[in-house]
Amino acid sequence: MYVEIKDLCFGYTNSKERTVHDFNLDIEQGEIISILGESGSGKSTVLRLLCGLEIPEKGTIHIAGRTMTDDRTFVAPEKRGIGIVFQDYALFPHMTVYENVKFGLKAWKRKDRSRRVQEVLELVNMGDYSKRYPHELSGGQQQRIALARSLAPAPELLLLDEPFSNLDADLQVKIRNELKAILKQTGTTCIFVTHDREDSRALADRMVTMRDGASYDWDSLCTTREEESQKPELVRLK
Amino acid sequence: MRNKWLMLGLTLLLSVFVLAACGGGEQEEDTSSDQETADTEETSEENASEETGGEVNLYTGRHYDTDQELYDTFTEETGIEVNVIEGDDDELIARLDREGEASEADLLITADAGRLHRAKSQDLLQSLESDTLNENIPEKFRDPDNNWFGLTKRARVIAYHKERVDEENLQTYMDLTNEEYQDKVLIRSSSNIYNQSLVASMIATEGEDAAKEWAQGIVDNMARDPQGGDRDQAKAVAAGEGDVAVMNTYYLGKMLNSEDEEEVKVAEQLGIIFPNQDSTGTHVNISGIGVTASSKNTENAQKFIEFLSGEEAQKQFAEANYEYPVNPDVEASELLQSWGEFKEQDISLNELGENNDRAIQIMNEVGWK
Amino acid sequence: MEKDVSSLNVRRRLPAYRNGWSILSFIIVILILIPNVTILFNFFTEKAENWGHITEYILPDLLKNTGLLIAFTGLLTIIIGTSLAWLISAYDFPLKKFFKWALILPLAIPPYIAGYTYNGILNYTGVIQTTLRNTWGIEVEQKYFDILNLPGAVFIFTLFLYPYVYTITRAFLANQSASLIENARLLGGSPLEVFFRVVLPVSRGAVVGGVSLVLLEVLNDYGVVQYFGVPTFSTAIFQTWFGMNDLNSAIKLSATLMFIVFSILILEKLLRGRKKYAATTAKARPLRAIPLSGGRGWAAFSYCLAIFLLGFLIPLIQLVDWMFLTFEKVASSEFLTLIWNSLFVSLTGALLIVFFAVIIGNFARTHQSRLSKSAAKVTILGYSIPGAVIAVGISTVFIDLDSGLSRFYEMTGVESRLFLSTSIVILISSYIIRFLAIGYNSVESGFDKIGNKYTEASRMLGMNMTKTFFKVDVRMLRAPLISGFLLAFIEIIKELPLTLILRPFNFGTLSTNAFKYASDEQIHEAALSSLIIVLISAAAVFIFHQVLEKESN
Repeated sequence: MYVEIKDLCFGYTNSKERTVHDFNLDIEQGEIISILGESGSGKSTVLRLLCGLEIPEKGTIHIAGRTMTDDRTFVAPEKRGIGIVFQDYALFPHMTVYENVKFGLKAWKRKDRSRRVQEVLELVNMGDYSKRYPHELSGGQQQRIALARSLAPAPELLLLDEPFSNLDADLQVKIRNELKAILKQTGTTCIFVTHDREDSRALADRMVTMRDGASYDWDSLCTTREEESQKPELVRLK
Repeated sequence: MRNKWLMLGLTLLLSVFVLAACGGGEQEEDTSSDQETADTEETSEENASEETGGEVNLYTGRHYDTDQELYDTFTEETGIEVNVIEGDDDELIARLDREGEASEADLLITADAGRLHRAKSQDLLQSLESDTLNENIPEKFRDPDNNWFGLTKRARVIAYHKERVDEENLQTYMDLTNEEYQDKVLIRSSSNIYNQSLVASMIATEGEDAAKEWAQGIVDNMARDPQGGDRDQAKAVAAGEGDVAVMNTYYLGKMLNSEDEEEVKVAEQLGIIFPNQDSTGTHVNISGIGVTASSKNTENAQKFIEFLSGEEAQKQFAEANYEYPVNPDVEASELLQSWGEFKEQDISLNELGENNDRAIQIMNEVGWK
Repeated sequence: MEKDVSSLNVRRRLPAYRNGWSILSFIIVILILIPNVTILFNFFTEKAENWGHITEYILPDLLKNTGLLIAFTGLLTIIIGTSLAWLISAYDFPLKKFFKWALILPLAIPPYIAGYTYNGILNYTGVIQTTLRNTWGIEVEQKYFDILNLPGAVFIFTLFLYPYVYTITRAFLANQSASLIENARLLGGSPLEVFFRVVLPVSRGAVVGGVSLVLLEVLNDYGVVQYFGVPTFSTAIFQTWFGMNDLNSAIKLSATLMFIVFSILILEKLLRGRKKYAATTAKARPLRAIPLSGGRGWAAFSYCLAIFLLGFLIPLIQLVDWMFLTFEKVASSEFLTLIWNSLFVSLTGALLIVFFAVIIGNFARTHQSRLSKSAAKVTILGYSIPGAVIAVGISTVFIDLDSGLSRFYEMTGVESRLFLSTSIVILISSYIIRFLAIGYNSVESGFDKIGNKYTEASRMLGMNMTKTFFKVDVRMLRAPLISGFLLAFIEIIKELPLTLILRPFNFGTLSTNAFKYASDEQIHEAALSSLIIVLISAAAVFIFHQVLEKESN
């Protein structure tokens, strides 16, 4: 397996209950996975745990054969080689588009950097915008830049946190399709988190749902909430 | 526009900074050359072991520019550098105590005998035998164990309004508690060391009960809640807030010679009484000096004290600061002489220190703020 | 089972703390704690001989005075601070642009200098009485002008500390509340109604934040209350400690004071509610000012002018007057050294304060845990204890340190056995302990505003914490860093008790020089040093204002 998450447990310090409880997930290389769940179900937290932005209480994470987290190991976020697009993009306001995208390329050879920046900007159709500042861009454009920035260092794993929540409906569909094309083109393994079933269905190779901090296979789930509660036999992922 | 203002401000600050840096640079050069001379002195000291030079470190609770001039004269005459930390008497003693054996201070000057006694009783001072000092300073103003030596005297006297007060009825500290002066007495707060020592001296001469009675009488007669310093009391008399004030002699001297003519006018309205001439004598306190127990430059320290007790320095104390010199060979300033001779309280000054705690308690007990 | 997990939890979390930021933070926190703990440690070792006497005769008075001072100063600073903030943010009137920053200037005058100056103006030989007497032949009873009493102290504290309330409230009103206030106006509320029913409740957090700073300053003050004859905790601590030589009673008093301080801080938390006053949203837009017509405009102008005159210009002019009176007597090339010394310790101190504040702030932000939160709380400790108490704690620690290092001194040929405790290191350390809270507040609110997202984004792009800090955080924190630096700078250049007690041989600053004269009632001679302090701080206040303005744009 390319990504292996086992028995992950985590609770924020100021809350008594665990946000993530015995979470398990295995992902193949190149697979696009969506994690679907209500807000507060702990899905964003799973991404943060994968990134190393939070430290799990229990459980292990392996990515591409490397142990990221277990009882003895903790790899710092910057050394994990994971790319992430945050819900609000977090583009550095004091840098231009070009500088934003170049930011993650410090491991690259100097002469390759600008070529790479141009390459990923073209990929997201934003080649002409490299001199702009983030606040001069629309929401959809910012979203593409954020994507370009996280793709630039060619991460082993790309995480997307509610990537479309700030976009209006037309744009959402358009970018969704483009994104899938880009991901398949680059062969990037991807996990994305959403509360929107449409997004999930359109983009993902496989869907997983989260409830009370644990993951369940989508196929065992019914479509509406009412039915969910009537059908207790969800197949919990082990 | 805003940027321009910001730039202006920054340039302003920067220019101050640069100016200061230039000054600092000069100063650094100064000290470095000082150090060089100090170094050469040190080496010469090693070569010929008995050479003048070196340094002496001083903690002082006196803050007069004229004192610094005296130190400079001393350095000129002997080649001994005087390093100074000025501070509050109490804090300096506390600092000495904390630093203990390792302290770099050689000398302690305080503006109150009680404080010197405190330093002595905390074993912070050492005894110093010097014929010069025995000769220059009367026995009364020296510690019996030679732990400290008086430098200047100041009397705590009654200042009164020349027109409104009949001098005849005002001869003692106790007279201030008479009904005649109901709501007329001006005196500063009980946190002031001069008042604490005054009460402490009364405990010594007349006993605790009498001292407490006096303090109670003063509180009953106060024209207002204690506030401000000694000069403020004098001004309040002139302003008519009260008629009589308790203050130290030299403040009056300074007001009479102030660069502010209004202060001169105030002081001119005041008469001065040395209380208790027919009984225990007027309360006198001293500024004094002692060699610290931890001193590493005792010889220099001794030279320094001897210098300050000598005629030249004593004259300067007397002239510049309107204090009474302790050295009987030196005359007080003309102004002080014009106030006449007076009988001084005859107690061991160490008693001021011994009774200090009790004095504070008494003042608290009678509600002296 | 649960227990197992939590112990596992600690072991798992440990590696995340193994970085320079957390290690440095721990070191700083320990350095701050040691002197304070040293003091408190004494609390239990010996019994206090005079405590009975103190509780009977002194404590009731202290509590009364302290209570009155806090209540009235608090109330008046709120009234003046918020009303000025409201006028400046909501209306246009003559010279408003000037008043916007000129009203912060009283912060440049240390309250003890202001106290001496005002007494000099108002006493019998002061300019008012003299003019009345000599020019017009009017004799007014001096008691109407007496300022050396509790109301006088309230007057001084109010005039020279209200800028804390004003600045914080104005910054809040300018950026946060536009839509609320404009709605209230549209709904037809009268200006007063809008102020009392909308502005005050909405800016409650900001006001409370400012007032608690004012109250901490009042509780810590020694100079004003001592001169004005209003015994408070700081004078009583001095008296029992140094006068009665009773350290333990002094510590008990300090502990009582700390209790009051912590009550204030807790009260602040409660009053502020859960919302922080810097809760900006991206959509915040500045409040548009309404022009005040004719008479009302001039009324607003006169009010601002009156406060500005009383709080800055009048004392400034008096100081200038005295300076000319005594210039030849006191001015010497030595003043350049004093200025240099003052600037040197203030700049170094403020720089280090910002540096440490950033380390702890960044640590507290990136490691959301009980540990990091308590680290942040420790920074306020020094701000809540009187300077003299801190001084004793610090010097005790440094003297111990020196005796521990004595062998090292022998080896390296350092002659002094108190090398550190008689050096400038101890002085600057004491500033850091005392004023870290000031720098930290600025830095923390800056971190709050930018949040964690940029830092996290940067780390996910392969930058470690330190690189992230320099490439991302610092760029965005520029304004809070500069304003934290300037506020700390102003505080240090005004600072007195620590400088007085802990300075090395032959080392003076402007404020010790002012004290030297003022303590011996030579107020006129103190004018020159005071004036330079005021001018330098005023320049810093001006830059501070420009930085804030730039940030809000």
